[in-house]
Amino acid sequence: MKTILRTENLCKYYGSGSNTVKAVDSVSIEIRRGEFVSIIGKSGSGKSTLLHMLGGLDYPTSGRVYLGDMDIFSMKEDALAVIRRRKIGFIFQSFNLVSSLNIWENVVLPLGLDGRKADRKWVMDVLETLGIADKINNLPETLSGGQQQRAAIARAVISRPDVILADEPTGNLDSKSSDEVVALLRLSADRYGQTVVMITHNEDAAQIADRTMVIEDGQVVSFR
Amino acid sequence: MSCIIGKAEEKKISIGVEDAEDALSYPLNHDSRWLSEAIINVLDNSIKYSPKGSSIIISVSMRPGFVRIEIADTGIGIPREEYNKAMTRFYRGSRDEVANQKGSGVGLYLVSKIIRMHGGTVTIKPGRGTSPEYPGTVILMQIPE
Repeated sequence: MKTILRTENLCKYYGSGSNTVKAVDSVSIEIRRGEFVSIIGKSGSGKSTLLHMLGGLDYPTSGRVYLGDMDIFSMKEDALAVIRRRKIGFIFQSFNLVSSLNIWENVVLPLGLDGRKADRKWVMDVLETLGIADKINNLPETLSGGQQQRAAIARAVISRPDVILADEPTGNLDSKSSDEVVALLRLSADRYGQTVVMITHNEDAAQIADRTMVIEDGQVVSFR
Repeated sequence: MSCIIGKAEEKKISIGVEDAEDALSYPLNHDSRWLSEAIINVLDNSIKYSPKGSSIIISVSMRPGFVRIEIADTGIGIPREEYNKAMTRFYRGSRDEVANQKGSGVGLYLVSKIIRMHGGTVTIKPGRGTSPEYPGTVILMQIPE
């Protein structure tokens, strides 16, 4: 399988001298196309910082991130913004849906921002896979946390990105909703051939991944 | 299934089914032979590693887009650090209680393969047993409609 995401000696340091905090420290990893990878670690281990750099949301202190053959941090900000919109799907712990838009509008938002028209059949297929096809006219506040996160997954999948990055997608959910959201991420990944990188402190959630990396003190210390 | 019931009866282990919202009668797009095989494999493990007189509960419920099947026993449990390995082929765990039982280490591996074939997931969770010797195990299978 081809490598879709790769880092070379990726570092993110804060402060200087004896006060330096190494949030991410010389991380070199490869994610293959179609893989579902979980990155687990305790609070403060550096996993969110790593994910944000993988998605081009934060700049490293040193090192590189390659999406395919592209060194994303060698690009200008405008070009990087286009890459984020088209090539990377994000799922956040707090769902981050737009409260004034209904579920359909939230889900197709990335397409609209890119000037693309929504393929209704494709969008409905994704919404049906995620079990929220009957909620397209609802506002986010009328849905449960689990339903909102399903909408967030749909939004991430809809533009067929190269990779989906999920930052603690079950962090704000009860245990049954957490189980479902993780299963839906897996289902979406398999059904749509998606590459997924999920960070979590929840070891139960990490079980469904093809591969798990353990991060401690900013370093990837083991693979399972 | 009758073989499993026989094994349970030998150890006086009760198997109960909790069916919320009539989930058992819900039509599910599945291969009944393979899904039965998956459930039988989980039950076989539960019976093998549970003490005499204990109980196994199968809970079936509907969630949006999924059928949720949980099989909970009060057996010897699986150490948390082995959860990731427990569903790999031929893995039998490191403890004497496991080595002393007959088995090839393919049971949970097969369960995982079958459920994945159905587009679902299998997760091992800590059990609800109250003793350190028998903490139990919960196997959660989520199968899309």
